Amino acid sequence: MGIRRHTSEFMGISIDERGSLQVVTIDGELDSLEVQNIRGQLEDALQAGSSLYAVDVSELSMVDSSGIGLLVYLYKRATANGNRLALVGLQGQPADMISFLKIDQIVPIYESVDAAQSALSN
Amino acid sequence: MPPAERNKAIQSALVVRLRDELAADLPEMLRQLDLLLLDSWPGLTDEAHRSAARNAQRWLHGQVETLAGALIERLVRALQAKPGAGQEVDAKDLSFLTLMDERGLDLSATRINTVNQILSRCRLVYGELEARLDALNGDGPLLDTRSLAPGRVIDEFRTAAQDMGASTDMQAALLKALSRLAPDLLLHLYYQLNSQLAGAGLLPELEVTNVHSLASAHQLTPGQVARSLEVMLRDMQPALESLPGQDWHPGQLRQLVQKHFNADAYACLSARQKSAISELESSFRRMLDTPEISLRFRAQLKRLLLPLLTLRLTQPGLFENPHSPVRALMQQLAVLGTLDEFDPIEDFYRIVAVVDRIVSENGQEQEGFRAGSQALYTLLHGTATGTRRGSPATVKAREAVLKDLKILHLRPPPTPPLQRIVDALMIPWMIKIYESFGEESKASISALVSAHLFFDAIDSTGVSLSEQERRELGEEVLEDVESWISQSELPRPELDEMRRELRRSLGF
Repeated sequence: MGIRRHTSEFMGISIDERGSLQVVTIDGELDSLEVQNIRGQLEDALQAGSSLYAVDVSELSMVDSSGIGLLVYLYKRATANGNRLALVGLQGQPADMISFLKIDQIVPIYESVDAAQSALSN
Repeated sequence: MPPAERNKAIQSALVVRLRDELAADLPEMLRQLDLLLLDSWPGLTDEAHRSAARNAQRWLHGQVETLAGALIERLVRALQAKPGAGQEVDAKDLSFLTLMDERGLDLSATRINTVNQILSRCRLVYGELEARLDALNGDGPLLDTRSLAPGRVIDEFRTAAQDMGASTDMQAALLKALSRLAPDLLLHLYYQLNSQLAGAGLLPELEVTNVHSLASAHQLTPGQVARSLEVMLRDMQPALESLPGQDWHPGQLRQLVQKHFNADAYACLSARQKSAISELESSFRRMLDTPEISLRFRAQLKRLLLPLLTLRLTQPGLFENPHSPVRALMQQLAVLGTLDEFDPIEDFYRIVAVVDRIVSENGQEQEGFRAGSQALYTLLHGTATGTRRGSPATVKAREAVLKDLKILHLRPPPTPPLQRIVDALMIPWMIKIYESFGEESKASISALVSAHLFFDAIDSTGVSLSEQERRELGEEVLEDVESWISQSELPRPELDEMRRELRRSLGF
């Protein structure tokens, strides 16, 4: 069962384990203020000992440049340690922003957690 | 004579003058460039730079006249293009965001330095020329006002050289040497064209700056201030850059503009332009107040404020488009700045170079944003995927790979997707092999052969093969590429797309 950690009225994160996959769910609005609030928690999540991470952003309604920077940083951090990380369920403004900046050419993106789990495990 | 007809006559005379001036001076300058390269290469300590300068000199020596002719035609054509031609890049099309190689990044930095050196001597006299060309276009578009800007001239030179077969390294060597010769040529050219236009009645009150004394922009009369908006805004750059972020209070940008424009000139700005100043300030303040963006990135963002203000005031459509290269570049800087705050990125000097170019062009060249955006994307990609960091052994292996590939004198891949396979798959794979087994190992030699076969297969222009041999080569290459793919960390969809593209290119 996931541990829910509300960081503000505008966003929240939760962390779940699905077998070997660590699922980090971010919902709400990920702007520079929230980046400040959740960076530590996300870094802790990357220390959890798993080697596969899915960041579920299907309920993320808005992201700004700092938020994108944080997501790319998490990817960089995970892969530098020999782990694998993917984004899951991108839609709406975050999908537009990530596509516009071609971050989808850097970080793998999957439609669902199941798809991410299957791809990352191979 | 009606104004439109008069302006057309002035335009024709100007084109003739441009051609004459260049025909008189350009070949001589290129001969000097040849000599400069000849003198310089033996003294260069860096092997790669020495080789590039030597090759550039040999390349240039036999074709001074041809290059001069090509460049003259390019510049004349650019001047006669409709204003803004070539600037209407589909704003939603960010396909230019492809990865650059190290040499491309180096060439970009060299170009910036060369343009900056030219601008340091020619800025005011060029500003006057642009004002006159603007005035000539007053009754309808005739000429591309910015076609003779130093950056555009250097780009035309580089493209002409490229079209004539100069490699990226040779282009960089040429531009580096050009930084010593081009300022005199352009200063003289701008002065001559200014004189002609002023003599024909275009802004005769705008003093044609003496080529030997660059007057301060503050000496211009109030009527000239509005036309010399760029020059005036640039005056404010040092004051703004030295202003600590925390001391920046709302409305300060507007106050700075008012301070540097006298009352009459400020009154020339429209209400929309005045409100644009406040809007831009507000969005910049938000970024500069963001602690998640590293301080050094915020300093670079601050340097962009005035170029963007100029852009905002002179090309509002481009600035306001949410999908423009301008927006892409600003967002990329913020993303990289956030990454930098968490984990300092390497190659920060390349970020500075991108900003340098835009500042030097005062935000007036869309190409500056486009090329900058491409460089930032390359840096972001490399930083995030780890291809721009590594142990000393990795760095050494990377240098060895690039050196060996260079020795093969391979033609660049014919399409961007194939270039991407080289950058993102082949080179990283070779680096791993070189690092693991050593540069001289059988494994590394075999990797180099594999790379050679890949280039032969994707562009078999210089290779004579039967249909059967071509197919066998293609199959062998596809097999090799699968092993590159197996070691890649790239997202699977992208790898699948690369596979498809390669099969298409090989005719499978």
